[in-house]
Amino acid sequence: MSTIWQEFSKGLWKEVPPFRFVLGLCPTLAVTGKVSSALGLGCGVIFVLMVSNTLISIFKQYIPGKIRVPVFIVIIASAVTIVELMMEAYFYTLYEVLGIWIPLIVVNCLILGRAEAFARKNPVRLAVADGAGMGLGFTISLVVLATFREVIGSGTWFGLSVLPPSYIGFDLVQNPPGAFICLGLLLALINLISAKTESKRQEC
Amino acid sequence: MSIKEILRMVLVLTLVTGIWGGLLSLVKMATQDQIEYQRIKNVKAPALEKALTVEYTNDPVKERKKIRVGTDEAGNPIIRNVFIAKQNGRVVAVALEGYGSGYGGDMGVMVAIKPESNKVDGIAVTTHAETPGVGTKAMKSEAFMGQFSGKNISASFAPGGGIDAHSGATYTSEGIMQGVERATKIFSRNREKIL
Repeated sequence: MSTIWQEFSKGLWKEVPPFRFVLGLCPTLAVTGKVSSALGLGCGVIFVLMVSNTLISIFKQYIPGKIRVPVFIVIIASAVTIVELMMEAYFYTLYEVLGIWIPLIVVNCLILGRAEAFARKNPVRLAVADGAGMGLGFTISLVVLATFREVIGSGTWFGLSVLPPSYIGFDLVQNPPGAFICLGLLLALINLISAKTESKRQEC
Repeated sequence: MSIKEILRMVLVLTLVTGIWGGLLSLVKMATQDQIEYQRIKNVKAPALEKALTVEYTNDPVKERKKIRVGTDEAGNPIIRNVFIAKQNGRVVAVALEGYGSGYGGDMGVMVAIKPESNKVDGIAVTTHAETPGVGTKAMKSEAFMGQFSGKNISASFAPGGGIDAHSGATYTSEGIMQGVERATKIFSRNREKIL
């Protein structure tokens, strides 16, 4: 039980994908202008990651090592297509906003990375926990970054105004360069926090 | 690499792609109708609501009919959607799209027709590539777009007929007229099939 929890929770802080591994940065930068689109893409990634991790872990002994990457890609690409069709059918406005970023989940290194580094070597329950944790960590990171950018950039959160209407918005944060700046600041903040907690632990 | 190993790899890849391909086609079939509905709802519905001025209680996008309006050069049937607006189960208006060529290429015009009186209810442009600020003036002009409302569908809407072009946007005006003309003709020809 404790190992399942370990594998799940490592994705939330210790190995949180976009900030620790700096993996899957393209969507991280591209869709975090709004919290709603960040959450939408995050949910898509959770689904794809869990499906790919589960299937790869179940069938790991039947997949010959030499062709494991094509097999992983087929599994991941199909899961992404399912997400795309479902989103178009039931969340059309979100589908329009996310656009190209949904099919591009296929090439998100995070997903192939987990398949290659974790799912193909570990039992199913751990692979599921790892997928869920990493996906959730990715989603939370996106939402945190999007919160910064949406609140500072346009004074709204999830489309609701949170700042007084006289706030005119800080356009830079909403634009691509602002995405890099916000990501950099967040990375610095996270490194600062972990450096602090690390030195405390050593003092004890 | 032995033959056995190669065969095993071929088998695994074939199985994986085959199974997933089958699964994907199932998902595609299951979501097809909903996706078409969403597309029409999000692309055509704004124009549809503008064209329909009568009161209606149903969802015309849901109660659409597909009719065959002809065949293209390759012999494939041309299918058009006809949106049926009902009030308490009675058909009060039908809306369909007609295409005309404007200044920047083809433009789609949604035309709502009241079948009981055979009169045009209203029109709205769905898709176009007209020059912003020049051609778009015509489709924003109440005076121009309003000319169509209330006219009998047997009247000629073609350029040079009973409709005055918006000055400064003649090509766009003529594209809209052509679209309305074609839509009303499609309706007259397929009346039985639609109602």
